[in-house]
Amino acid sequence: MDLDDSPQEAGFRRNVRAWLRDHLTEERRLQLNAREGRAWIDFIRHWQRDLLAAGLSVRSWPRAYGGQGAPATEDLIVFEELAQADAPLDAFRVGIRIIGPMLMKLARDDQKAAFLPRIADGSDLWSQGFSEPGAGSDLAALSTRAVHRAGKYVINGQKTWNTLGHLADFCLVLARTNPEVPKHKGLTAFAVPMSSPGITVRPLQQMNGRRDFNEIFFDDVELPENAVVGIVDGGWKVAVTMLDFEHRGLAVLGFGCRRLYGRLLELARTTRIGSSNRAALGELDIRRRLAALGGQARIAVLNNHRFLAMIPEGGVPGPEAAIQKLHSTELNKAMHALALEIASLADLADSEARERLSAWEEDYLTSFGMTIAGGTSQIQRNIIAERALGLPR
Amino acid sequence: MRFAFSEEQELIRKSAGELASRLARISDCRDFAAGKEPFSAALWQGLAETGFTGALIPESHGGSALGMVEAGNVLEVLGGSLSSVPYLGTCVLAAEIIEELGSDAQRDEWLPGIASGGLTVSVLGLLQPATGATGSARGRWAPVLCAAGVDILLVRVEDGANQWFIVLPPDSAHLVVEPMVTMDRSRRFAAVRLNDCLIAKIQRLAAPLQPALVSRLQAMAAAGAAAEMLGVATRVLDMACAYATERQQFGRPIATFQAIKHMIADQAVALEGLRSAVWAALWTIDHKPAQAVVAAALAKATADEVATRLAVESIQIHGGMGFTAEVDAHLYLKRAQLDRILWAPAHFHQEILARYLEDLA
Ligand SMILES: Cc1cc2nc3c(=O)[nH]c(=O)nc-3n(C[C@H](O)[C@H](O)[C@H](O)COP(=O)(O)OP(=O)(O)OC[C@H]3O[C@@H](n4cnc5c(N)ncnc54)[C@H](O)[C@@H]3O)c2cc1C
Repeated sequence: MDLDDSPQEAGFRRNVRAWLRDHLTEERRLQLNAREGRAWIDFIRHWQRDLLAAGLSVRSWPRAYGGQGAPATEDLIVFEELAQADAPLDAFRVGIRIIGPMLMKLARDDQKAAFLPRIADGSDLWSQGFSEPGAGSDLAALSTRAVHRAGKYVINGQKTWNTLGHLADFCLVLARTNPEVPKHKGLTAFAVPMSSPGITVRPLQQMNGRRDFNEIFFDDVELPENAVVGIVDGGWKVAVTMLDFEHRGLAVLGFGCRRLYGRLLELARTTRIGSSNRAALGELDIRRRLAALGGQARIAVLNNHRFLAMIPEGGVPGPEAAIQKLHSTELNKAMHALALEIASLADLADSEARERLSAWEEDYLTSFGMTIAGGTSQIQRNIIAERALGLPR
Repeated sequence: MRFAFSEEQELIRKSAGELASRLARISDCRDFAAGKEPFSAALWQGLAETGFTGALIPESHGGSALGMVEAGNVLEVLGGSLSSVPYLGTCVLAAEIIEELGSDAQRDEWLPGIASGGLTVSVLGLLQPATGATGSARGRWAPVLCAAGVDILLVRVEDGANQWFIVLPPDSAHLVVEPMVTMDRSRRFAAVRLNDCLIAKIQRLAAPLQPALVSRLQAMAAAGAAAEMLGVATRVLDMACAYATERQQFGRPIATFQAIKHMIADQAVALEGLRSAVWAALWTIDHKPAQAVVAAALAKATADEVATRLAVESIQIHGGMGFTAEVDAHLYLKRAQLDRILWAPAHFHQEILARYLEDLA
């Protein structure tokens, strides 16, 4: 057992930090975190390209696909340092953490060669076309149809809550190819270029005021046969593999929780209660609650390190990823709830205090999405109980 | 970075588990409760034969010079099997104290005994030393594990600016050792009183005790107790899964009801967090002494919360059977409740975390 970096890891971590210090200027951080518009996605693409050029992205991928064939620990170190530096983790998250690893396991060689290097260098932004108005938690009940006709597949239907679909180049669409068999058995996954005729994207307004996710309508969208990912009617395997990687990807939020804990301490240190001179950090009740959350944030980081050691190099994460996903997303929500509470203890007649509260309000509202996206907390509990603990369904 | 046990460490976990499955079955725990033994002599003998009693003793004194990670692995198994042996007091705390503060002669006298299983020790006053007018000291402690059944007591005393560990047999005229009956019958506790005595007249370890060692010992006690509680929580979750799968109501296993299923899933999340916290604390004591206090406080605060919660919920999951004495669920609940207050008052560790908020970041 060794919780410390090896000399090699420590050297690598130093390099990551130094690179971030030089390249993540305050201006760039703001641009990257804007999360809106074409200009933003261009910033993000450049950032991704720079990260890759510096050897700080997809390090554990094979060289042929833009990676370095490095151990997975180095990817984890990068995520840890990105989180500590407040750099965005998630614009290319779907491509890098979910689609890419799935393609490596299940796609044809020509697809890997075509897609992976372009995911790695930020050329192609991918989105995940799973959920439909009638099929969220019960994903296998989806009704978007793909019909095989004259050497092509024709897709009709609707996806929803599709994150970044309005900016994406590709969508990994799960559609029903065989309605005659049980619901899990008739699904197929497709790599769909968003420029295909017949696709309409309609952004949805979210509760935090943003428009990150969308409805996507498919009207007779034609795809060549080689757009199939995995095997025909084998889409459920693609979906489950992606969800396992997604839970693991969201678990990296544990590093975000540690960073958030630091911000929470800073907030409590600088917030005066009402018009008094007392810092929120001096209140025993608040200190106790911060201690409980800080302890859990430390645990989320330790879990990330420990669970990494449990996945064989290059393997698919198991149900323990659901444990991390549930833990870190619920913790993220609880920490934002306390932040909102502390920010609102301030004298709100003061305009600076109001601005601060309003910034935390937005983050607080955003935190609700994580315990729903990628399978709700309730679904994670089902996965943990049935797959990790072996309880009956 | 590799947060996983080495092969040797896995071997220790395995052989401790085998030992417990022979000598610390749940029936042994029930027999112990009904009997008079101060602790399980048979299990102690087994721990000695496997060399576990000497885990922290230097090789020069008959031990194997391992670390807190290894001792913690043994403690985890001992906790999970509801064992009654003074392992934490003797093989962890006393071993450390005598090694650090004993003269050569004292180390030669006691360390081989600990390593071979021939000597058992209780440590008193880790949080509150005995104090008094200059040159004298008195104190009261409870609950103390095994105080009446061990060979010697090491009592921390404060004499003006200096602190020492004095050495007393449990039947010393200076001591009053009263049995303390608690709901946890898997071990024997006592309330101990040290009557006003002149420190200079009593045998003591050669070197005075420094604050850094006090912190280290407190961290070892907290992490060690947390490891025992991790063992308890692990068993409790296993039992809940087994019972919820086997027990049928409304024509199906109760585990298929989400009120039960999700409660157990949340328990699994909490247990995994506890594992991370405890194992990290054990490692930190071995390798990062400066960070040990906070790491151990996190482990113990988490254990206090998680082990008791799981044990409490386990009674509910077992329904009416859970309320009977026949089913083992209550034994774990009682154990966890005493573990919570054995080495420090309830909330002690949460308060440490609340004091060192910055160090958690
Ligand atoms: C921020 C955000 C981003 C998203 N991004 C994407 C994306 O990029 N691509 C994509 O395909 N989807 C995306 N989603 C959709 C997300 O995957 C679904 O919202 C989620 O799977 C839940 O489905 P639902 O909304 O239909 O809720 P429902 O399934 O209707 O669930 C409603 C409630 O019922 C509970 N429930 C449902 N079934 C069970 C059960 N079996 N046991 C216990 N409780 C149950 C749920 O936990 C929830 O509390 C996103 C969602 C959010 C919030």
